[in-house]
Amino acid sequence: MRNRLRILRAERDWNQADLAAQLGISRQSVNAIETGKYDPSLPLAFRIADLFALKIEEIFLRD
Amino acid sequence: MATDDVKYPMPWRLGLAVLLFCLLMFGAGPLAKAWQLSGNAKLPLLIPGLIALLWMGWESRRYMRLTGNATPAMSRYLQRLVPLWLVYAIFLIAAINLQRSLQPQGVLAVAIAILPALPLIGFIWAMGRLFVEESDEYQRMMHVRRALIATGFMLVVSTIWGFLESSALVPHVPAWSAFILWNIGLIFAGIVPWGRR
Repeated sequence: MRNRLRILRAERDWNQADLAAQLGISRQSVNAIETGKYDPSLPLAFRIADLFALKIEEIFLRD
Repeated sequence: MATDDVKYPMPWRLGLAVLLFCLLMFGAGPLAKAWQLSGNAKLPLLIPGLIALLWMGWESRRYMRLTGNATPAMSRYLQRLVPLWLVYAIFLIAAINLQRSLQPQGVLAVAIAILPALPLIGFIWAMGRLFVEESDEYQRMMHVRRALIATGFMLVVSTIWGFLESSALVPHVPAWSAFILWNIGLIFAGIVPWGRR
């Protein structure tokens, strides 16, 4: 699954550690999600969407 | 400034610490035999291994911080491992000394024999707690993946060894070696690419 996490993060001038701290996860996890190595669970996807004030489908895209 | 994809360096220093720890701990027995040490005179040989253990713990935490991988659950897991290793060393020495001095029989013999197994079972408990306590779902998946790689490694090596042993091509190895193999498998899983991402 593709995602716009890196773009959204860059727009806010956050680094991976900033985003990880706000989501309560590790920087490695943010990196894995951004690079498409790991697809987050639905609860984590909702937390990400809430943080960016967007819908899940505006962040995570079908391949 | 937003950072891009992070490349994690290989944990060479951690690998060296693990190698040194294994060599010093498992080499203490043959060294004692070579120097003809017996009884408690062998105990000082364990000290370098325990120092290597502390270095291993230090390097593990340093690498986790470097990779942004230091979750509270992982820190607790590492904090549990060090005392378990110390208890294992104490119980092993105690069991050897008690077997020699008491020449136990029956239930007492069984209790003394399994004494060193208890902290090793503690390692499995600590791994279980890590799975339960890890709130970072990606990290939890990686822990489980590494445990599965280690289990597969242990099963492959012990199965091949077992058949070689049945054909009298290799010497007999005690069953507790499976636990050592599993731990070697965990180290192996932490180094291979499919266990690191």
